[in-house]
Amino acid sequence: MRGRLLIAVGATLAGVALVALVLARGAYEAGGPLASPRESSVTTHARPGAIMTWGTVLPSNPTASDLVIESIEPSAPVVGLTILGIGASDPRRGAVGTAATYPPPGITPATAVGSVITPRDGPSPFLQVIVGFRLDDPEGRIAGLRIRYVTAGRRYETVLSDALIVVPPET
Amino acid sequence: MRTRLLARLGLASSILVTIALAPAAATATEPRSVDWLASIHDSADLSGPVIVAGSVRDAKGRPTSGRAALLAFPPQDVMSAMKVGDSVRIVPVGKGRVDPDGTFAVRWDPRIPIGDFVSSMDTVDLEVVVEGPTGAGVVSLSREVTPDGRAVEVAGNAARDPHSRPEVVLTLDPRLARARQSSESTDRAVRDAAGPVYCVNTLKSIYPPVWHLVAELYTGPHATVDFTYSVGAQSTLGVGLSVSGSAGSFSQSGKVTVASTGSVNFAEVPQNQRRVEETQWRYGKWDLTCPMVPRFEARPHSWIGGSTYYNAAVTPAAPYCTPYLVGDRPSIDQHRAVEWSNGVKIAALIGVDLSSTTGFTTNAGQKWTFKANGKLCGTNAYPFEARTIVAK
Repeated sequence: MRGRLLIAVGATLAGVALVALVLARGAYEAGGPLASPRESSVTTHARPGAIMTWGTVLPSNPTASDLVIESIEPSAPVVGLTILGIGASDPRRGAVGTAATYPPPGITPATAVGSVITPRDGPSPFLQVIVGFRLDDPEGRIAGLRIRYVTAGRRYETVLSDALIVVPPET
Repeated sequence: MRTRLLARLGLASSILVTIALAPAAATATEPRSVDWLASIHDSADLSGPVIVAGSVRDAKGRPTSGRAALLAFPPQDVMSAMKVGDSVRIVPVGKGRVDPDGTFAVRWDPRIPIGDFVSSMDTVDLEVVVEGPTGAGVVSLSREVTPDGRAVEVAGNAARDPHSRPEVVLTLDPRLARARQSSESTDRAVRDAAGPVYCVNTLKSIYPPVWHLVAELYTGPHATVDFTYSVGAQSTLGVGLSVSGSAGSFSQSGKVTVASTGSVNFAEVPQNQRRVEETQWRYGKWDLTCPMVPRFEARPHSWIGGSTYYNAAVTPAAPYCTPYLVGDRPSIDQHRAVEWSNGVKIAALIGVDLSSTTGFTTNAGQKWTFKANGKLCGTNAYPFEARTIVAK
């Protein structure tokens, strides 16, 4: 009886440890090398129904290792607009801050998943996030971007305070 | 944060004392080796994060051995409140050996509470003093503290800014060693009755206000920009060092992070302008009576405010461009901006201009408005990461 109890307790503890290990391996550390104190925003003008592009270049990679993007999504519920797509591209082949179409002229956004930011002296030190959206309401807002990525064997989640604000045209 | 502020105010009331130094009890003029900062743990015996690491060279550029001390200054609000003649203690908080290959690494002795030294910006002002066989060296720097305020770290901006990384290079100056050996202050060993050695920093004079460069703004044909610099806007200002303290004898020996205590209303910059914006600081001349290296320093004392600008001669090359539509208003706050090697115009007072860096913190930012389709371009990276932004 006592032996069975010990086996049961041992099995339970092993199970808990296994679950903790699995959760730890899948977890993201907050911050990481892309964490930036910058706070930026772009206010642009549009009417409801307009389809537009917003672009922002991610912080540079200060490490000596490549950094691979796992996901990019808004950091909070978007307000007043519908996201049509989130992609990525090398801004040296065409950068965009705002554009009145989506995709923006001359740029074909690729999927952000798997995009690489190399160290500054590498072949792809810049990565631009390209967000296509349709304005549904008179005003719209994306508060920031949540970026998940892996570098040097560690996974990070960074919330970037880059915001898009859409307001009605002034005239 | 409130607790920290109260603690700082408590420190201000207790630390602003005029210290009557006891008559010197002359002892040896050689650097103390047996009891050198005996109350501080050697960094080699500690396991915390390295606060400052670096290398030491002699005047001929050869690696040299020696010893390094880490000193902590009171926060800026305490220093700004000092009047001419006031003194304040500068406390050793770490020490370490400089190996024969010239390298060293210093940690904060965890027995010394950090709270007394933390500024409203969550930074600590430090100084590394290195002594070697052929001279001494001093460098000033600021470090951030951990979010819980319990430890010094190289983090945030400092970790991303190559100018703020822990590595420093010091060249031994024979004049500083001679000053130590010849100065009476060496043996006015500023020492508590029971114990630890410390330095006494006396405000000898306050220089007239000097202009401090805070932004370069290049608007081009399609955009205007509003530059805001308000309470708490951070800058990093150079520190001057001199053996004699005489006018014209200072050289730069590092820098410290400071914050404005008021706001400047810079006018909106119209199109096609190349403006260099400035505001005013007052520097103090400080006499550090220190058993390690007695010296004079020119350090920021207090923020004055006011604004002026001059026209830059040329627009810098800025190849990293992002296009925007007419009516767009991109704005950028809180990232480290360009360092200007002569950003503090103080040469007429101490013999050399000092460096300055202004971070576009949440209290200092650029708000652009496009009057026609155009671009924001960065000099060394895309605009939100760039040292300088140019509109085109």
